[in-house]
Amino acid sequence: MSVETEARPRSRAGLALPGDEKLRFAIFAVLLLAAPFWLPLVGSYTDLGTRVLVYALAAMGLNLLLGFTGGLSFGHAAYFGLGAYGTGLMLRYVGPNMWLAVLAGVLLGGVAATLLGPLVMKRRGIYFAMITIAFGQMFYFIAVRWNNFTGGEDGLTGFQREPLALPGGAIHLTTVPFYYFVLAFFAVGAFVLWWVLNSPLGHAMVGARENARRLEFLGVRVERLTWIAFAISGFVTALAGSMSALLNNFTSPLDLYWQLSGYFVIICVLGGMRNFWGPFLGAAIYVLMQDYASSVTKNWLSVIGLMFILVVLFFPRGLLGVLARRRSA
Amino acid sequence: MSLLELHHVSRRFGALQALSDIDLSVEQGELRAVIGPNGAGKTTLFNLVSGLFPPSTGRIVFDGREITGERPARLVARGIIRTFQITEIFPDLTVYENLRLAVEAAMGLTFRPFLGAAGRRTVAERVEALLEAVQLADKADRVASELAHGDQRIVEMGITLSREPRLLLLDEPTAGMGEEETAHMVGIIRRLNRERGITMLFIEHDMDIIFGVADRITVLDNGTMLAEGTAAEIAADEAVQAAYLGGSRPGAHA
Amino acid sequence: MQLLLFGAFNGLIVGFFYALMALGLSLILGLNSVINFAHGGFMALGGYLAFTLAPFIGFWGALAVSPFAAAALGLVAERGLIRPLYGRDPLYSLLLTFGLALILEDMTRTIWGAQGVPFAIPDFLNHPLSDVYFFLTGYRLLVVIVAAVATGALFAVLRYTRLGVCIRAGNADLETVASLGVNIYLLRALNFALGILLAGLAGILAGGQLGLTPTMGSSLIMPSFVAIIVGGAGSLIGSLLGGLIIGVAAGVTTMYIPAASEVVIYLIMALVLLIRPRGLLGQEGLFE
Repeated sequence: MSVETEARPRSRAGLALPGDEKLRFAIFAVLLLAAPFWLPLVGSYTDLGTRVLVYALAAMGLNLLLGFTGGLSFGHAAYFGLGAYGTGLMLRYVGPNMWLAVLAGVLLGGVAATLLGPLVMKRRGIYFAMITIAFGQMFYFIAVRWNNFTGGEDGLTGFQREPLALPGGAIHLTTVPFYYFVLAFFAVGAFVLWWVLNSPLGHAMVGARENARRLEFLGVRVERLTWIAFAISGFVTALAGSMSALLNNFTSPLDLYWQLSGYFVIICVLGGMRNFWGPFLGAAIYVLMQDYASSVTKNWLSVIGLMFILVVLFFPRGLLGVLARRRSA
Repeated sequence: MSLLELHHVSRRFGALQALSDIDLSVEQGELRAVIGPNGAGKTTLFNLVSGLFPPSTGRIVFDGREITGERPARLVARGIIRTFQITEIFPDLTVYENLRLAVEAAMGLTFRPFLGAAGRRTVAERVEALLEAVQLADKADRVASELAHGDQRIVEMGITLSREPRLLLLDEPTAGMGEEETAHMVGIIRRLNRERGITMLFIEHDMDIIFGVADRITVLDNGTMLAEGTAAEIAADEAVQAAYLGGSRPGAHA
Repeated sequence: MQLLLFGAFNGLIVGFFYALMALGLSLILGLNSVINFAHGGFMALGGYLAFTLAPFIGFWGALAVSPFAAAALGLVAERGLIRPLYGRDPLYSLLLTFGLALILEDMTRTIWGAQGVPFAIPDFLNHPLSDVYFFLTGYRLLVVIVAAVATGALFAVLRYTRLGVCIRAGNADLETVASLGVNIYLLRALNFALGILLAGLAGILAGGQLGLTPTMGSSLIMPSFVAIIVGGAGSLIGSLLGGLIIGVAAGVTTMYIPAASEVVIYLIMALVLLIRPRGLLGQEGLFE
């Protein structure tokens, strides 16, 4: 029987990737590792790659909830922004320790999501969306109003990336080393998500998306499951927020604003929210579009608004969703 | 000893007397059919036994222990498992993933953070055993929603089996199935009963299945128990003949 | 004491804006099963249309006409964009109205400018009605009266007209309404337009009080969501009540702890969700 088990294709053999997926993942990893070298060759720049990683991580964190657990969270900017503020405030008020700064951001955003979880879990469907977005906005107002601590409407300044203390000495995080710094944290976040999704917990999350009632009859408490998904999702998105603060040496209430929550959702949908790497593809397209559109038009909001509408009407399954369907057909 | 006993069980909904004074006992290892026209109270009986709501009066005893009024989750833990008339599966997952999810839930692994290689192997073996039991091994990697209706019901049966039921309540297991699918399902039911000794109570309309499979038959009509006995006894029972099998009632499923 | 009254009255005015928004959102949430993110955009549109029309037809004419103009645009959006999405995963209608909200905000900014414009109200409405209660101006009184009349009219429409009866019945069971021969597509379209009508009215009233800015929609829509959650999904009276409660709470808080004036409404929401998850007057079993 065990021989048969191993011979079976996808999803059956446990954690190992089947051959062609292994190859594709290897290519993807090499592309990411080499990005600072090939990005300039195609007329781009390293910071753009870093930005893709930041948005991709935020959206992948959200997608654990949105695409895999089936919870319509429209408030994830809150945890992204809290991650950014946690890191910024730590560097500004406490001390120049990068590790502590990242930790502070991740904890601030992650713990907030964990604490709000039980309040949010009580309802499902579109009402869930409304509660998540409303709560998200609370932190926006705190950041705006707590002027003397957070910098208010103008945003938090007065901090910057510090040299990174490692056992072998300190590294100055100029553009390229900083890319690898973010890539390392991206890898950690992505691994956590991948590991969760391949555990019984992740299987049950997908089950909750597919048929929550049935899952309850199997004895799994769906509310608790959604809470855990919400918390993990919050931690990962907060990590992305922390990276964002370090990338820009700045964070503002716009990092907490509800419009950003919507951008994260459309990134997931655009790339394909049923696919693990879908949000990454979505983030790459979003960042490139933003980079380009902001240089040619002032009406960036209309451009992205139009993108929302076009995706909904013509690409509801997302790019990777369309590709997957074509392959299996 | 009887596995399931109902003593003077009644249930009313407002003015409607859905079941009145039902006395019923099902032996360990028995395959019992519950028949009766629509509105006879068959599904109400299932809902009572599976704990969806308590009886208005009367007692329910399972395995020598009173279970009257216990909640579904508690009863599931005791081994009383039911299926529904609507197919309840995880549509976008493969058959294998459906069963794996069920096995992991049944083993209580869902909220365990670490599952080692040994744990994964145990899960895989149990899933393979389930696939074997419901004869779906060749369709393991198909997405459940793309299967024929009959196969979906069988997937559901597999999910139900993951809880290792002692008493299985099947609400119209072959409803909407073609001839071949029905035969497949009936074969599975027989085998589970014979090889694993699972006691089953099933609601069914198809007379061929009822008389071909059931050890004993309980006939409900208008919320009361009309008759109970072996297939031969029921076929010969005059009250049943008159009320049900004789076809004198319009709309009966004979 | 006067400070408290001042705060409470200010809050009541803002609360009426929230309530008008929440009522419209609630109508659309109920029958169309859509969280209309673009509601704020339509609200701003109502205000700006009044601003543009006022020089030609006067303040009162603009007050009467522009909500209907906004509603007409809402009808177009419902027909063209939202209608194809009924029956699909609610995620998609959320995203669509989200996109629409962004476009409306951007168009408003492009047409009327990012700085915002003052919306002139008739001079006699600017004067306080009482020396003691200096905050009680004619315009504020007008806001309360118009909002109250509009709310009363809404409930009358729902209670006594055929359209209203169909909307209420459709909230309970859309399929049954359809089986009675009612054209539910038309019903949903009219319901959507009715919601936008209220939003447009809120936009004009708010414009006269707070001035018109392109972002007024996105800043007023969030408290309106909170109003619905506090009042309870499925209850229009709940939405009205929720809007007024958080408006007054924010108004009073502004007087004593200005920095907490927004946060307090989220604390109220958290409290309600903690104690009574379905909201003050929410229907049992809805979205649970």
